[in-house]
Amino acid sequence: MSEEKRELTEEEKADRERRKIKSAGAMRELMTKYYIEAKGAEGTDRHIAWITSGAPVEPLIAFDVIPVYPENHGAMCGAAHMNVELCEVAEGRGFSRDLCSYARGDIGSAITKGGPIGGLPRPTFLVACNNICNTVFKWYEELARFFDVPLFIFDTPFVRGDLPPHIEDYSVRQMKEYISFLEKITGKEYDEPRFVEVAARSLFASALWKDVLACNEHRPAPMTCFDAFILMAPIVTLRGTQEVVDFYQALLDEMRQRIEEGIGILPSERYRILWDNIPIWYEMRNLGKLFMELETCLVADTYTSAWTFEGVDAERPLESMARIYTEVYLNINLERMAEKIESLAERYGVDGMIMHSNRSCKPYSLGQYDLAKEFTRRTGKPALIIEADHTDSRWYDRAQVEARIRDFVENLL
Amino acid sequence: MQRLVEIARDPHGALREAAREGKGVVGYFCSYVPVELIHAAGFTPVRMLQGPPPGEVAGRYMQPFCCSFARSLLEGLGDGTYAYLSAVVMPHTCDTIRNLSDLVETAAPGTRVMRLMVPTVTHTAEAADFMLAETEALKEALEDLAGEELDRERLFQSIRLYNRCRDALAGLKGSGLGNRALYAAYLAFQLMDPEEFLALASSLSRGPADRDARAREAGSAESGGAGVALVGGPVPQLEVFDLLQEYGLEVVWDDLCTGSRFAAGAVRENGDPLRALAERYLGRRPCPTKRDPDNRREEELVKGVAAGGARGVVFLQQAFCEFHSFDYPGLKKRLDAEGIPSVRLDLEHPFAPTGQMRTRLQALSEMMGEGR
Repeated sequence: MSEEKRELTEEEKADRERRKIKSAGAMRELMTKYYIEAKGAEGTDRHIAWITSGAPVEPLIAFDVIPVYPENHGAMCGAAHMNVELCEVAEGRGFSRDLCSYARGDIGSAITKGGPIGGLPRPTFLVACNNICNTVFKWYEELARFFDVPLFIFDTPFVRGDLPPHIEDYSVRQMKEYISFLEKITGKEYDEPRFVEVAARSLFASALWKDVLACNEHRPAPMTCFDAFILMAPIVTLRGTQEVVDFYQALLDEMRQRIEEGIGILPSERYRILWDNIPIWYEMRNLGKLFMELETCLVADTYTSAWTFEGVDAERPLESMARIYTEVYLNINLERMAEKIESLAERYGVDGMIMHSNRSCKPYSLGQYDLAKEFTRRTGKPALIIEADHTDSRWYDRAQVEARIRDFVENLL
Repeated sequence: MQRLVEIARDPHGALREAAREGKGVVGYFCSYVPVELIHAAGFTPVRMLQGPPPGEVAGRYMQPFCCSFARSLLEGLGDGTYAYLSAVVMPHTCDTIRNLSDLVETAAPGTRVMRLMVPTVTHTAEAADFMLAETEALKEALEDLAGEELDRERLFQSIRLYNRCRDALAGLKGSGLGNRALYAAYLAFQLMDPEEFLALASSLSRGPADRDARAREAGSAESGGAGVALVGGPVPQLEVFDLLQEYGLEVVWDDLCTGSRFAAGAVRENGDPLRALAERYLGRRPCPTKRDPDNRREEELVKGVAAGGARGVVFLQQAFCEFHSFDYPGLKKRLDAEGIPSVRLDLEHPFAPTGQMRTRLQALSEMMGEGR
């Protein structure tokens, strides 16, 4: 795409300003404050836990532990085009290039303190839940050895169809074990009313996030998935806190206002697309420009909706949380995934689906060939699979991917 | 010996024949499947180790960054190679195999799939109970397939039979059979009727042995050489062991999924047989897909190297296997600290020794010579 640099007219400037999502600034402030607080806690009495994105964070908040997310940091490093050099550090220590680039980058950053914020604060313990993949527990075992800190693994067996009672029982018992682990580490007693309060806030924020995403059912869509990929940071990292509830309430208000005023995120929205898999973080800007040029809006995705939880029973908070975390999108079978993408396609009125076959994420990617066919069979809409890696740009061929996206969009409808 | 080698090289002929004669065969994917249950239900358990080379079926369903081991198995299920199986038991060990158990339903419609979710955590009471519940569920699925209940005594008979097979196999270790013959026996144990295996393995370990003659019969070089330990996943190709022998490397200890991780450790022969099975399978030396809080793999590697008198280590990994890849740097670092040389070979199916593999083995052989 040739980019002619020219001065925007006053009208264009005003239009661009009108379409800009104002809450993005509040989110940057929230995340900056969070990282400053987390980094400032290093070396103090305050506990810092590194935790996987799909793990139950509510107990940490209830125990006043600062949660830190290497995956969120990985996305930052990827978007800042700094993850490859961190991966190379890990590769130099013998970690294969075929391993997840979040993991490689994080190991590299732990060694060098590299990345856009000078690395993450040193953890006092670690929590990993394999509901998103089994790579995380190997990655966290490596971190546990590197930092010489305790590691809690929350083991969530794969769920096929309805949740069987013995899996639920296993998850609930581990939730209780997790609480005991936290009591031992922090020296504090479990305070159930506090946990219920945190869980309620988490649930409330997640419901707000769900409503924010649902705003994109409207035409024109008030945001794209590229915005959602950024705006999801607080629900991933800080759910359970009041600031996050406040942030998503304000974001929802803004989205509803945009709908009311007919403000779409793109100057012109011709096609609507469903996205599958983790974003290609280092390529967000280029792909964003490409889709804008093609008048195509990514209106929904299977990724950001992973943090929309439902069904917490205040009488049985631990049991509810155990069940919620066991049945996340990446821990269910293909049939249930096909149902989900079909439902998203219908609700958001999409014209097709683009799937990112992500070298770094086998549980998300393996099955896409089948899901793509199933999507077309169920909806009559086409699907495109593009090859990349979420943060290792060495596996990405920009010219080829952009050409395939152009062909795909040009042949829509 | 020749029969064991034949089975190890191509199990399908004999198994197809058995299936035709009415003896049901149940395939299983990994060393965490309690084979005793399958056997007690009246089926011959056969480990699915090498399907045809990945081709059209695998390409239609799986990305090329998945291991050729999994791709080959899907190919075999899709192209009819495994059509003689009455059912397939697929444990959820890694993300690839987990997703594969879904893909089988469309790639090979009609395949009866039984799933076994082995916990990732193996050292807690919750995990032990969960493994027991999964073992019970597998028993029920097998009973359903067999059309009859599986009684306690039959289960203990199978447990005793497999324990005796493991003892017989242990007797062959260190008997100087040579790499090919020893690992042909390991593989055959997972690919044939256990009673026939026991008879063959027992006859091998009886009487004054002309070991070199037996090694020659197995088609491998004569026994003897510098001792090495092997670490890795499934290694179903006998050619790998021949390659080691070519460089004068004789295997004296292993931590392989198709070697001692499968075969070592008996099942308790009293009490509740299902709990005994769950305990044995969950309590065995962990594979890299399992949480290893006490660093057992590393400690047992160092101990195994010392006990077996190995002077070097060869890592044999399936290309794209993230679990082994995660463990490799730590294990290597420990070996380096102990002054034990090691090399790594990445395996793909079909196996072809590359120049890089030869260079690495030559280097290892030289390093081991210098360390004498």
